[in-house]
Amino acid sequence: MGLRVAYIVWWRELRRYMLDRGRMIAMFFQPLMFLIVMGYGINSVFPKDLMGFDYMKFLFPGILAMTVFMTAFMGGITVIWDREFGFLKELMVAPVRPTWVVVGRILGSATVATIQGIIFMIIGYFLGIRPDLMMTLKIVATTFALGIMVGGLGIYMGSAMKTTENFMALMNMIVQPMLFLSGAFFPIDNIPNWLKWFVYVNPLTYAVDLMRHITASMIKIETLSMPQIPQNLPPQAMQALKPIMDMLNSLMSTRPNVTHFSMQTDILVMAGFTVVFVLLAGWKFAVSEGV
Amino acid sequence: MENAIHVENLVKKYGNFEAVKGISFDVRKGELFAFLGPNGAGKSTTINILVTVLKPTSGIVYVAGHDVVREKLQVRQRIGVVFQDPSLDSRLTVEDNLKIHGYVYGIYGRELQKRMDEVLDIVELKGVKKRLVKHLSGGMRRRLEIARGLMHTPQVLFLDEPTTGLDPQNRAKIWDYVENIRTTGTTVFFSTHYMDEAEYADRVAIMDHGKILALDTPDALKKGIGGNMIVIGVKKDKTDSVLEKLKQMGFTPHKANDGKIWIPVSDTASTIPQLFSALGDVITEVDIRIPTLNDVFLTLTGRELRDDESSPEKFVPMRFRR
Repeated sequence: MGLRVAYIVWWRELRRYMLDRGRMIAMFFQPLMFLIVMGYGINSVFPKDLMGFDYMKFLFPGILAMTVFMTAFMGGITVIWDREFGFLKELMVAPVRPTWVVVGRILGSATVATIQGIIFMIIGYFLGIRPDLMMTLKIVATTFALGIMVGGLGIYMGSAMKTTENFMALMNMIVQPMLFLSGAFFPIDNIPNWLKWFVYVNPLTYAVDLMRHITASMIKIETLSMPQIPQNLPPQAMQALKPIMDMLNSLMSTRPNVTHFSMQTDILVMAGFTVVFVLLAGWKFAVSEGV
Repeated sequence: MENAIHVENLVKKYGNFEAVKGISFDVRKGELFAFLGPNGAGKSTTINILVTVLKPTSGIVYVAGHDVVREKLQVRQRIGVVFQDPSLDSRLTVEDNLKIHGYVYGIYGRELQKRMDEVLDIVELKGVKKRLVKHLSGGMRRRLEIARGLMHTPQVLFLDEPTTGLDPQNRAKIWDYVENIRTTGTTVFFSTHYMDEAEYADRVAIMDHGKILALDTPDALKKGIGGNMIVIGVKKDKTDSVLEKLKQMGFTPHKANDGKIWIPVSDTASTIPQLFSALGDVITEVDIRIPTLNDVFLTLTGRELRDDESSPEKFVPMRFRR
């Protein structure tokens, strides 16, 4: 009985998504702009060889995570809509426990977010970002996991917020910092320590990092090798070249990694956040429903 | 036989405000039961307690044989509810809304299709099965909500002000459907502030300020106030002295909002000459009224049921008039 309720609530989220193509398309605008403008822009300024990776491909997992984050988080707004437009009452007199409704909602948010993610990956394919099959499957799995985590957060927020306006304001307030402080745009190895703390408490960081692990072999470029200096040069010439070689050496050694944590850390932290958000969502939804 | 609804000393307080002040009543199985009263009388609060959305402050409430506080889910499975405000998902189709309801109440597969067609038949909405709810008219939406409330064949159907905001045609239709629903043995409990709608009910509870003032069949209620009403208009400055005089004569007159005096009488024919000889030329007009539930309400509270809105009487289909 409970599972059937979760199923129909999940189905409803999907059905609404299918009937609302405007939302589908609107959600792509911002991420695509970031990917194309930043991707081509940065790639044209910094040589790939020097950075050690293709920036566009580096950026892609970050932007993908952002798309999934926004879509899944938006799932929370349906809680407010239901309250404003009355459908919540239908659920309030239904012979079901709110837990199953929350389960259905979170899975619904996650599924819709995953579909958006897959569409985004198809767009990426045409921009030259072409992960192999195994990679693709792993990315999709990560996307779904992130969707559940953020879906929980969204439903918690939706249950806690009174109006759609508040929810949208909150979303605008948290999406930008979360995106910029997730390592989506730059590797976090070499940023100042105080800034790192913001990155570390950001749940999105771990999802982005995990996706980079999965796609690392696609992102990294291993073509750069140190120039070989002929041994038969006169000592004066060797002397003159030394500062240049030192500089190159130091550049090479500070070349950032594309990932920051271990894969295990990423997965564990994501799981931890997911449990917290899902429990919060279940609790707040039941409380705000007043049943 | 067990009653469909049993309420004993029900109290609901919001802080210091007592919205429902210790009411008791029973609704029999298969009955069409009306709650009549002005806005703010406590009708919706009571209904919300009966349908388990609100918790009572104190009192005993059984619906369909189960306690609304301790056995919420059992009660919910056995009741259908149409709220005062819309509660459909307007972004989905008619069919989608019914499907969701079905699954939630344990109806699926072939049974779901069958029930869907049956309830859509009752409210004549079969033709718009695939349409988005947001493209339906207000009346169609209300009908869809009734259909949805019937999906799981509830023992008791609750309708909270089911016709508020509807046009005459839709209003009449809703009562046609209610008549149909009753033939299946479903108990129907509705609230209204239209006195003419309460006339359809087997029994009416008149509610005001959180209390039930009277509960009986519409006919008995009307008889209870003493036969017919004589309504007289008198010269403005004389109203008070006339009221005084009528009381001395043994009548129980009421002053209506428009300044006219209502006198409940058992024998109209002999009373009119008596009035004229006693009051003489003070009387400017005389009218005889066969009592309505509004008159009952007036007698009970000294106020008219609806001072501000026009009566929807003319919208009522002929066969419902009594």
